[in-house]
Amino acid sequence: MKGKVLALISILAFVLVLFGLPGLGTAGVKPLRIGAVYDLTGALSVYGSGSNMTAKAAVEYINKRGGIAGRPVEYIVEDGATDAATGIRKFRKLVLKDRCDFVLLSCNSALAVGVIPIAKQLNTIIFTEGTARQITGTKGNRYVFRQINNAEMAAIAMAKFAARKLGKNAFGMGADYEWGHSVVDTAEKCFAPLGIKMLGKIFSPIGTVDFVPYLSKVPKEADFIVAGYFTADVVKLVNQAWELGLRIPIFVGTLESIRYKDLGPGADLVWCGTYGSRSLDGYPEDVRPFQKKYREIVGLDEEGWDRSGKISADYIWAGWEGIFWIKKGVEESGWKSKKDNLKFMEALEGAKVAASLEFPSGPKIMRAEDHQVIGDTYILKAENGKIVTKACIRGKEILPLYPPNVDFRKEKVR
Amino acid sequence: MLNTIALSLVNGVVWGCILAMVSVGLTLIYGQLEIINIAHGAMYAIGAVTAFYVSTLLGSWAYSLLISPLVMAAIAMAIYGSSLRYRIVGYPVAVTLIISYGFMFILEQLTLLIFGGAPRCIPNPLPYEVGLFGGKYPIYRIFAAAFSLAVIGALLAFLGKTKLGLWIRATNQDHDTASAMGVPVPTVYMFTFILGSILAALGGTLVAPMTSITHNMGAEIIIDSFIVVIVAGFGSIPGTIVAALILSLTTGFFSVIMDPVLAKGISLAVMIGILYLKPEGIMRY
Repeated sequence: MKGKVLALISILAFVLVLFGLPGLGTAGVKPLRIGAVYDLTGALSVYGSGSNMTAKAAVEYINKRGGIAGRPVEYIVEDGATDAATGIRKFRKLVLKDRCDFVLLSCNSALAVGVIPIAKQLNTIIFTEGTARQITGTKGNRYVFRQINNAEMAAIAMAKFAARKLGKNAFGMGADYEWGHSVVDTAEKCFAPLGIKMLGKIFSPIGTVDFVPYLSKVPKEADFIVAGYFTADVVKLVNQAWELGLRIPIFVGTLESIRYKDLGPGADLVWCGTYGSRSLDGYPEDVRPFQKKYREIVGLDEEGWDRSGKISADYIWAGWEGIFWIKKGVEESGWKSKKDNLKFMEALEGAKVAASLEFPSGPKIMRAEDHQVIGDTYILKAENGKIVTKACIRGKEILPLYPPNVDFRKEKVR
Repeated sequence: MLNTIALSLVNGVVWGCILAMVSVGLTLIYGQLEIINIAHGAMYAIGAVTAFYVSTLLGSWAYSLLISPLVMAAIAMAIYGSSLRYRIVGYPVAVTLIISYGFMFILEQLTLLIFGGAPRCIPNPLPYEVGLFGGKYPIYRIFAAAFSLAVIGALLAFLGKTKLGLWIRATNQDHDTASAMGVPVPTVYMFTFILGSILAALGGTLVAPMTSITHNMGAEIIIDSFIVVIVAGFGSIPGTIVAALILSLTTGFFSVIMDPVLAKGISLAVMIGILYLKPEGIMRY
């Protein structure tokens, strides 16, 4: 008899272990899989590593509080290696092999442009940090959401500011790809109504070693340069312009992870129109408390540097907010699987969020027509040894100046 | 216009000299060991990164002209000793090509890990300009070109006038006979690999104050270096100098009169034209 009881208890225990225990808590619930293609290596590695850091922190934060709609979140990151072809391959792997429900994309605009039609084919919603204008325009579709302002919006803010402070004659220089053209061409378009004349423009390959041939084309009448370059190219351009004796302001599209001293003796001539403030005190008062809390969680100090001192805060909040946009969409639409993608899209189309810990870069609207977030834009300047915030142009000021040129809502979704 | 052309030509000569020095390293390694060293660009980047740390820690970039070659000598010795030395004689070129490709990744990712992905810069060690053709030109760039030429000159003297140089040339011609004559061929191979690698690192060190320093900056120069080495004639040092100058000067000249991107295309077309006329390269030796 004793032996039979023991045997029964053993079988019961075995059955519990096999089927019962995973049902406790959220462990038995099918996890929500979020994939990310971030550029952890190559020229954009500071952006990719930074966004990966904040996205991972957001997933940890959410999982500690019960996950998304009661489902734990699994986060899988792949290295896009700052190469669109590699990134597209990694995107397919995340969707087809890892069965990711949603995918975050890096700031590599070429990657986003390549992935957008595939995302539609594979019925997978993507969030991108790429800021080239066409992503939420003619090259976009209903499957893509952009959780960060784009180059066109930054150019509008930049033009408004430049018209007041920098002069009437500009010269455009940019990297010869999607984003570089976006910055310069849009600036030109925005300058005309403000009375600023674009004296000329020139584009160079990404990774140009020597800008001297390009800088020699800058006319003497130019009051300032608008430059669509990022990371290493910004540092080269600014330093080589100084070496050649050019002493005019240079307005760049990003200063992510660039230190004041690396801009060389001409640092104080550098301006930037971007999507976040580096220093905490550059955020408006209604945003600052949430930004402070967010920085504590992800490990950024008040000056805007991570613990390694290698990644700055200007841009990388997009990883954090990307995860929270997914959370918002899933919870508000009751999304269970990709069959509910349409409900998810409808939930986010036109969604408004206030400044909060979930959205620490400020209030924003996910515009219904083109899935473009309209948030705040910041004007930064290198000054007295630091990158300081000179102005914050609120999203509501940009919204009327930047109408959508597509309406994805007319598209059918599987 | 003429002034701008003249300045662009000067700038072309400057970059041509630096490119020549880096490419001579590549051609030395190929000519001697038949190794197509894909990791050469990563070695160039390490030279620049070392210069950054030396400049930051010791307060002067000038020390890096000594320290960068020493650091690179140690790295090159480790690379050679760990794998390449077992795969040179009697193996197809593809084997060492794959090995060096692997080392390129290792070196680049290690540099990213240590240095980070953000671009850095070194203050110009000679922050003066000289009046040239109605414009201003940085003195440091002229120094960098002169230094590169001096290094190449010293290398040619070393190869032509010293016993080790003689061994290198003898091994280059016929390593079996050289070995039979008592030349320590394995040591010559290792020394040549280290010497070529040092030239890449020196290139990075010299360029560091002129540009931004990044973990992947080697990609900026490696393609031009390979073009130069192929057009020069594999293993030819004088040919390498000539080819580097042709590439840089044509780019500099055409970039004044047209879009610089198109100018680069034209300069590459010129290089293809040379190869068409002289498929064996500009010079044999």
